[in-house]
Amino acid sequence: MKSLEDLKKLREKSIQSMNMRYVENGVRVQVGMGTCGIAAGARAVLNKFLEEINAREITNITVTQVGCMGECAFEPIVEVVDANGDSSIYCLVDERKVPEIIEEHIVNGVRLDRYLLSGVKR
Amino acid sequence: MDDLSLFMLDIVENSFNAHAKTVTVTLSDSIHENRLSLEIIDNGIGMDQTTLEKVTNPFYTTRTTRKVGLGIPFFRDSALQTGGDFAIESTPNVGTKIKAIYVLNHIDTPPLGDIAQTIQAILVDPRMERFVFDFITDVDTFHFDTDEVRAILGDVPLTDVGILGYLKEYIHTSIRTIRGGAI
Repeated sequence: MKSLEDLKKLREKSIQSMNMRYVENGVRVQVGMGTCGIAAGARAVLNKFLEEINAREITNITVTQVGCMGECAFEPIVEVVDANGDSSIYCLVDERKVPEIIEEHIVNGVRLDRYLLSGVKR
Repeated sequence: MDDLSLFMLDIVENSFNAHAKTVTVTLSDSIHENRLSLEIIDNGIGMDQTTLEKVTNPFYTTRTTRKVGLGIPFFRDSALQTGGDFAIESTPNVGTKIKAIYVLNHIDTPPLGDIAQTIQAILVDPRMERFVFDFITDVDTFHFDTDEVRAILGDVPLTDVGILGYLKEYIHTSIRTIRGGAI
């Protein structure tokens, strides 16, 4: 069984990569976590973002969660705010789309227009 | 909502919306008593009696983005339909306490779900200041407190993705162990 003792070792390791990871004004990823988002699978989407960012050792990025974004029928909704402040709102996000958003948008800087809320027909 | 861990996340979100600084969740899983209970206590702004009477109504919400509020009605109904119980108490400026009790062997009692993923989602909420979680079975208990974790971490943030991954695994393994290998 894991214990919190191991957390001390992990702390040392984290300190070494800290300078790289925590830079002001980096990319922000915000996952909508209202009742609608949760019921639609937002928690798994958040989890996938955290796992991928950890596995790929992406730095200069913050993942947080926010409340209902008001477009419940299009949940899970994820807002990506680039370092320059540009916002992209992705809708109907699932675990499969997460690696794609990370690879294309966050790593390569190319917005995925086909997944944007603004591109969805009502 | 498919399982108890999703209800837990949804209700804790309410606590943060109510500006709670500390949220305490106790999950009690007793085969002897044939009872599964989930209790959420916060020190948020609380509710007056009039509001409290309205929160289990699905057509009541404080949100301005939509006209329905399904979180608490879903949670209450899920417990009541197993023959269990549901209670909500609140005091303005003190906080709110919600408790749902399920009859463990009832067919409609939801599975536990991924508690570790729910706690991970709670930890990344920027409004979270302190989160305390206790899981109690007939034979063992598991205790988690962000203050204890922070004491070990020092200046390393709890929201570091590496730390979060570790904590998720730690919580998952601990719960599985005290439930005798089942999750």
